Amino acid sequence: MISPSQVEVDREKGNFHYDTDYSFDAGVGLSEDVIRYISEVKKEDPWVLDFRLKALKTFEKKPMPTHWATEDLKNINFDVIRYYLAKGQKPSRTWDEVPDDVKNTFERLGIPEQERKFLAGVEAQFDSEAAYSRMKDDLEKEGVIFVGSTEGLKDHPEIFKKWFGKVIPTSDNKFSALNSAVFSGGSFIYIPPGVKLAQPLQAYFRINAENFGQFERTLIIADEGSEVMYMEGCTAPKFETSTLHSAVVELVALKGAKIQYVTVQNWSNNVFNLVTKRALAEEEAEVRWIDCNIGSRLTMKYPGVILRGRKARGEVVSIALANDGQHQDTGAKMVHAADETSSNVVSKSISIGEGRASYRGLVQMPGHLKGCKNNTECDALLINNNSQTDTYPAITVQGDANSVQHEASVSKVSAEQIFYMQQRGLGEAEAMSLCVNGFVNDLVKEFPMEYSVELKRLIDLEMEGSVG
Amino acid sequence: MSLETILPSSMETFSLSQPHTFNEFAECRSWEPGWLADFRNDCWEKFSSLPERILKDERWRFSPRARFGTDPISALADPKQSLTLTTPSQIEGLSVDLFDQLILDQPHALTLLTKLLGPDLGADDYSYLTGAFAQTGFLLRAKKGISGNSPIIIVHQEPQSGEIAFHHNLIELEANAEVTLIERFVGQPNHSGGYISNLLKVQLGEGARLNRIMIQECSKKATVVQMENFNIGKNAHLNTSNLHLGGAQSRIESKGILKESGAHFEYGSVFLGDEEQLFDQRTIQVHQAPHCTSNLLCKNALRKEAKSIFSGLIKVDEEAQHTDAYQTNRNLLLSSEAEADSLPGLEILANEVKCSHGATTSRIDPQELFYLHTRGIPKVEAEKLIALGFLSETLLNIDHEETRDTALNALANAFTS
Repeated sequence: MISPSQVEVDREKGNFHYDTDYSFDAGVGLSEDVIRYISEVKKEDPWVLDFRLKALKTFEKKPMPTHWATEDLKNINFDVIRYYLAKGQKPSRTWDEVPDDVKNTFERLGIPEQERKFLAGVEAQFDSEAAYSRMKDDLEKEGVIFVGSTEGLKDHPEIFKKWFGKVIPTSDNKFSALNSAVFSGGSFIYIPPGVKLAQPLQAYFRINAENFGQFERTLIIADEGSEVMYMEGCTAPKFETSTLHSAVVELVALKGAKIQYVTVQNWSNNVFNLVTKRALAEEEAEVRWIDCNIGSRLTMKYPGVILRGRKARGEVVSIALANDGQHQDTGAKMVHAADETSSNVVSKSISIGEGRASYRGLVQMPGHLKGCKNNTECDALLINNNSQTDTYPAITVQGDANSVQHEASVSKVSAEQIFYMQQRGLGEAEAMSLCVNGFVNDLVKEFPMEYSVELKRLIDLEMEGSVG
Repeated sequence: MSLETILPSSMETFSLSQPHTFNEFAECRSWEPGWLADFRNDCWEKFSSLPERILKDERWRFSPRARFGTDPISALADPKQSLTLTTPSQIEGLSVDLFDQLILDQPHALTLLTKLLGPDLGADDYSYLTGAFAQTGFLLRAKKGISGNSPIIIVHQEPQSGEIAFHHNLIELEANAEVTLIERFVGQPNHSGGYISNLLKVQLGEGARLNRIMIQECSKKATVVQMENFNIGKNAHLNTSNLHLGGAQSRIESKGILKESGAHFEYGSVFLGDEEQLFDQRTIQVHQAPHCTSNLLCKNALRKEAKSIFSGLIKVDEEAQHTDAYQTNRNLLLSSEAEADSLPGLEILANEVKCSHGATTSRIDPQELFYLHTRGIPKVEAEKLIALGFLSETLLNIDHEETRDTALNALANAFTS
């Protein structure tokens, strides 16, 4: 392991406040006025405003899904949340207010000083403008559109309007309705036919202009035969005071297209992260969700793929790490809607301390289809006495031409394994960490290289103090 | 014994959900001990205060619940006919009695029945109604160290069309007692459309062993609601094998609670579905103590438009370290309109555990069919052979040879009919 070098932080530099300009603040609470205000600030077309207002009504009508989900959802107070903060604005905070554990993690991950402040929410701007604009030029040459949700709907309605809100309808669930009402930020991406991007697109580089959104809206359309990998989030912990994050991510893979969507979620431990992610895969298209959840108080996220064209393929690869006070409620949905479609779900979760990791899955195969296949594997590792793990898959298969297999197992690191490594001179914590890394290793490899390195370090970090 | 145990026929406006039905029923049974009347009243109160059915009840996920509605029920079945038992050769300390007999002879024997809970996995209405209206049921009790030499056979008879039989049963085995029980559910082809609501509560003392086999051959129009709760004590061993063939719709709720260390719970279930049969099965394995093991295997083969739902949960409490628990659901779809829903679940709070579940749904491997075809076996026959082989695995575990053959024959017959 790389020994952490002591980085001196210039505290003075981060110690400032923003002036509060109320003309760009929608205030707290949710109402029609707030929606109209957001839409006005963004100078949106009337149809977008209508879309938002309808969504607000749906949100108000929908009950909390507590008949199956955790009661913890009831602790969300929708009336004290700020639903929109304009460009460059964030609740002000000084470096001293950032918790020690977050600072510590920055150091261990070796994050540059400048970036730390941005991630900690002390500074709103992180200067990666240069990297982004260079990337933008290259992309534009290929005809790739990579913009924010507001620009996407305003400047390219001919492309995005067709699919916007189609993969995940507003009324899908209470939180998709909330997002549809107040969304801002996120990425709208269009990849022209046949374009295969060699480099992954990173939200990270573009997003600094408007900050990581609370209610991000992302729509990626990969036209026929194109290929794209999109990376969202980063491994460093993001310290947030806003406690509700509810994103909607829609992917459309047209005939023969390939989309890989990589997420590393590491919100701080006070955040409710309630995300709706779904993809549509046309004929011979392939969609992969590669997902890692480390942070947040409660994450509810079940990436799905609707396999609508013949031979379409969907995959979810997911790692969840639940530590004290955390509930990682993740899973996958595979809806087979065409012949010879196949899907694969591999989910691994680790529960440490009093953490709780849950897997919820859904697989559907109607009877008129032929040759559909699904494979689901969920493995859970429990580290301490107080940790909890649950698995709740739901599988529906009709007809005699499809096949599904699901398997889940729960285990702990065996005393023999630890003992063996201790005999070879490793400390107990090191041995434990090695076992845990071994448990998730085949999935970590699916992440881009720089992510996987940081992921391993993060797991080490989370494991610290959990043994003994 | 010639007490009037059936409701007077004057009750023309019979409806299970109407208070007057219960009141008149209670009046007819005013001769019962007060505590039993209280228990019935309590169950009735609970039933009447059940909330309106919520549309999205997770415990009824995937189930067309309307098919289990109580509205078409027009009468209570004759308790004298709906349950019969064959008493084995007299062994001291082993007794099998009918509920209505015991009320007169030794009412105190029934108190445990009212104390133990049902499985509580969703069919609250049937569970409370059974508590309120049951006029019969069997009570199997074995004293310490008693072992029955031959199986006890109990026959549940499907009632006439529109009638419902409520059976409230208890099995209590004291330490180291050992019993084999065969429960058969039978229907007559011309008796179609009866209801059976069967609530079974089981308590096994230290080291007790219960070997139970259930063969359900009701008519294809029957409604079967089977609720069973097994409380398994220290080092006790419970093995239950269930074969389900009849019933237009069946709801099976099975709960196995491993209460003290060393307990073992073995559950096997087979369903062969045909026509529009619905088989709605909910199971839960509750591990409350360390060093317990449980194993569950549910196999369904579905023909025509049959539908099966398997919802199982392994729940391991924090104290239940060194748990070994398995749950397997295998579905074989034999037609393009059959449907299998599977909800295998785990909730694990202890860390020193080995738990896994598996669920598969598939058709017959075409290669296997081809192989048999090349050996001159026609397709229909080959399908039958493979499906039979698939299902009989669960039944081969039945300890009692005679019953095993009965079960296998019943299964094979169901295939040919």
